[in-house]
Amino acid sequence: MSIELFDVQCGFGGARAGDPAVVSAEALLREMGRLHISTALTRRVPDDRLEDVPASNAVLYAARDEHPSLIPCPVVVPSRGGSLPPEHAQVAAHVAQGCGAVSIRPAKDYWDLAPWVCHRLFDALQERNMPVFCLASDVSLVQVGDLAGRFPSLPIIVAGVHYRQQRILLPLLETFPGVHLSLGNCYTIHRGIEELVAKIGPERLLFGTGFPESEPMTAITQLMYADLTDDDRRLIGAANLRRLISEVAP
Amino acid sequence: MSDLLEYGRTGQPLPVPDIIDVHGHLGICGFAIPDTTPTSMVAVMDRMGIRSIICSSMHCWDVDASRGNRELLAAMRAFPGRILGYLSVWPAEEPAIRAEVDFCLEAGFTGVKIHNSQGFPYTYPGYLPAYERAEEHRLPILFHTWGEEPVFAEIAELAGRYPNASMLLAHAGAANVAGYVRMATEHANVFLDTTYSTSPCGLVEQLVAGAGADKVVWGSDGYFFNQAQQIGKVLGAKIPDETKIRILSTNALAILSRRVE
Repeated sequence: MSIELFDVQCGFGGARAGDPAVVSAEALLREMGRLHISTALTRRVPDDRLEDVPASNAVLYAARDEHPSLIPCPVVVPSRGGSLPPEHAQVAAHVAQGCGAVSIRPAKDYWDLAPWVCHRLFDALQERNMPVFCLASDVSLVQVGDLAGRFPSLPIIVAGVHYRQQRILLPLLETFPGVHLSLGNCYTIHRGIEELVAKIGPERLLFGTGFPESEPMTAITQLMYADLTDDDRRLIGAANLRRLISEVAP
Repeated sequence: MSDLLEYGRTGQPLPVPDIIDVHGHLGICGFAIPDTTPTSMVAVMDRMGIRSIICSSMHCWDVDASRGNRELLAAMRAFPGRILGYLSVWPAEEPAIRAEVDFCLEAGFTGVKIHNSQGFPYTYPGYLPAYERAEEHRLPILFHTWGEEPVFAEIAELAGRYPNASMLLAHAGAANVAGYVRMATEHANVFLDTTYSTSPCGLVEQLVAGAGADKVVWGSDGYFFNQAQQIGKVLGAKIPDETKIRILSTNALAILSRRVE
């Protein structure tokens, strides 16, 4: 069967320190076309030294204006201390511009997940049902659990989870219904998807490739050869992410 | 879209008759794997159209290697032709090692797996009985590698000393891609195994371009990894389908067909 795929974990336009290669939005689109991926939630990837958050976010919106299948996932930052608009204003602006989710990367942007540092940001995001994308390398699973406990109706997408983390990941998902999982690009667990569907259902699992770091076909075969019903596969492939985005409050 | 890419994109069993996964594991390891039965491994293989997987025990890196060989043998007997075996040894006392190697080969094991997380160089004398039998019977030897030049130097020495054994370098390109390519091009009996969790974009293409299509073999590390995820890097690579078939099947068949009794 062929199903729609909506990639929750990919990007373009970034670089890794010491590596001159830059993957353009057009290259991402070519890859999506080659593999029949209809839509992508995009970040600047890799994001080494992308410290001008407003300018970096603007690149995502400019790409979306040219290519509507690239849905921006901009970075948000607590605003105390200067440089950025207040949290509610940041979130409102991103909603108005049509982002699909936002991402956080506390260490790279010099802040912390302590409640007294960031509660205004997450209050604003929770009010809007705005999905928050967290790479496990930027926000640990324990930090995700802490955040999900403090903001129980905030949708959180955790990505880049390692295959050796199942003993932490499964209780995280069982304990916090707001937490969702991108299946890319290191969640290479034998019958891992099947176990998650059996334990928490298919609604919080999201197709993600990890492009341009990883060959996106690995995420496709992992999903397409999994022992799932076709309905579950459709939910994971695209429908769950579309639902999350549709629930963002205008 | 190539034919094989289309099969993978739609989740159909692949129309390649003898797909062989050269790098598998059975048993319990330190992190959680939801289902560690051989039955579940074969079920996954059936969904993709994989004929055989050559496994070592998860005990290949610890002192219980012999127990692992026996657990693996039970799986081989339960699924003949589907689950094949790499024997492993703990390199302690030569007579016991030699007896273990001979027991396993007589029981039908296919090759040898040595993992240097045991804490010994690959040239350690305790491994020699296994290498000697691999040379005598023209068997594959799978080495865990991670791009380290000192490890390549050890394997280069062994490749020269045992020219009839096929030396498979696991995790090719996880680091030092140029080193892997050099090993495969300088040594006729060295092959590159694609196993790597995150499957970097373009890595399979790099290995094929550098080492040649005949020198790359598909390994999944299943069920240490997910076989369905690991096959995607070959199906998705920007190489012709005939090259994908070599990686998935033909090259491994050629290695296995070299065996002599």
